[in-house]
Amino acid sequence: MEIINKLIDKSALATLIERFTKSGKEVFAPVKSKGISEFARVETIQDIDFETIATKQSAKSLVFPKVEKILSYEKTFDDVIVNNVDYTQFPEVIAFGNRPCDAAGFIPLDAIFAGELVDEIFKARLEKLTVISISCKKADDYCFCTSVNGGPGNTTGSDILLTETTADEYFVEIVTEKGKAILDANTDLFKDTAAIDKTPFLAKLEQQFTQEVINEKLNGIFESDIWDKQAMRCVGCGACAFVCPACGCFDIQDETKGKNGVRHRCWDSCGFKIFTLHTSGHNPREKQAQRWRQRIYHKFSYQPEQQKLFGCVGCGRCSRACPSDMNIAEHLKEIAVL
Amino acid sequence: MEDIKKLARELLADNKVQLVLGFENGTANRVRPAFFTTPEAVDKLIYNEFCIQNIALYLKKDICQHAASLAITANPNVVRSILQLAAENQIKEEKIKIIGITHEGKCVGLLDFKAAEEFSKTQPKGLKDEDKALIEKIQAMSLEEKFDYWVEAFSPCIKCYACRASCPMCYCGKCNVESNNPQWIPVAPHKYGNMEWHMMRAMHLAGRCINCGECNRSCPVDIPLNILSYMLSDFVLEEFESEAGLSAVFTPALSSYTMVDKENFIK
Repeated sequence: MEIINKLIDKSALATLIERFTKSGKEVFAPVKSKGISEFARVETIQDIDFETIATKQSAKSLVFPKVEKILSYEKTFDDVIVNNVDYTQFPEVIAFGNRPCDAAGFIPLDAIFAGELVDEIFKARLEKLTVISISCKKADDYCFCTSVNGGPGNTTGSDILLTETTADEYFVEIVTEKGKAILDANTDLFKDTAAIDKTPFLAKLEQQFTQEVINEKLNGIFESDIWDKQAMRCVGCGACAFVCPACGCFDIQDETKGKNGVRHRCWDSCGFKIFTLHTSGHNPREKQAQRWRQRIYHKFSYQPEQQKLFGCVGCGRCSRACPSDMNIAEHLKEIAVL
Repeated sequence: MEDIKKLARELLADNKVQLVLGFENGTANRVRPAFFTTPEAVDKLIYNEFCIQNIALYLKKDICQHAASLAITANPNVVRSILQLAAENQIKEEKIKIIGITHEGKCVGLLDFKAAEEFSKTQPKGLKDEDKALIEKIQAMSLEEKFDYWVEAFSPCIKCYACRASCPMCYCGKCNVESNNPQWIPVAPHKYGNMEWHMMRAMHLAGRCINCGECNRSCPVDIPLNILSYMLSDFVLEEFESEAGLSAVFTPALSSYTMVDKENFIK
């Protein structure tokens, strides 16, 4: 649909959030606790951290939690009874105050989970999710959304995008039908406006490379020694993948007690040695460098080939979380000039 | 810092080592581990108050395993790690040159293991005031309150295993949590999965942890794992008069038995 432009002032925004929570919707927004900003359930606008550039973890757990029960089972004398999770009963969730990069992250996740094969649980969560993002006024040394087709005021993946134009007012872009449903139910809170140029209100972020160039370069450097060089200091943890808004790999874990059991889906990471370990003991990605290479190829070569999109939104969370300062933008820049 | 660089350059130029493990500048005001193989490359080597990552971790990685000999810029945490790794037969004295650096950042030159042991004794492990306050708070709790505190503290864990991956003492080729037949520890990062994982890791490190705090520093969700390890170390010191990281010849309390071991904890 065509974007609808509106204005909303901050007290009206507070009312909007109150109306969400009062109508039974669960609102998740960045909340600062003990110095760390993370997405958490909020009741009022006062709970929300509007300042932090990026929460430590992404908003992906709203549709792809770190652990979720997908079914339970019970062994009987001659059968197994399987009970799937009732995914028709998920609550309506509002992601509020996330950044445009977080919103963009839902698109590659959707391609992974609801592409050729549809994951009903994921799909049900995503259908119940409305994304109200806020444009970025600031960027830090880790941000690189403008190098991966994103931007501090990008609407991709958002249902509504808010851009702070004055101390008291946001410029509102209603992007999707879900966004329009919110507008229609709350017309008293929004004011009419013509489209505005958002540029003066957005962070300035220089483009360092293009994802198309990375994609092209990857065609000839699978055996390059660059992977060894870049991955030398990688400690082999999964922090990068787990904080990434676009990483969708998971592990299935059954926990059985007596005749009953539960099947869980949990986050997994291609950075782990065990991720590709075969039963025979052979590991096709024996070295950390091969696992690092996989991370880059998956996002910039395999996903473009298979799903016609890139698996990185340039939020920089992996670089911020890395215990040994593996900076993905810096590494991609190195690849771009090979 | 210049004396550290001079030493590193000489070691490489005289072919005394093939590799120097140290730090270079990273993103913005961060520093990062770096591997220097030529005297010229050492121009980029730095050492400052931000160089707190425990780079002894890399001694067990391929790059260091493949080097015939190497040097390492070693603050007191790194020195203690090296001694403990040596005590556990993970590194040989003839392979490693320790460039000793005090808590204040002063280079004390090359340390052999004997000198490293002396150095360790003069460089006590430090705790931040907020860490001390947290320890006091936890110590004042009842057993039930302690249990609840840690269940809550572990709950944000996402099982990225950065604590394990960043720990110089977590060098097992196959971690217990990766064993799935039988499955000792639940993989799922739910309440009990997190609890069991961190309890298991803490017990495997009790009496071996050198208290560098890297587990907490690397944790993306900021779980105070360093506090847990610190309290366990204190407990082991009190009960067994045993402290890791002070000597290259050392048997961890929980891997050994002596006739004077107290048995008063068996109730």
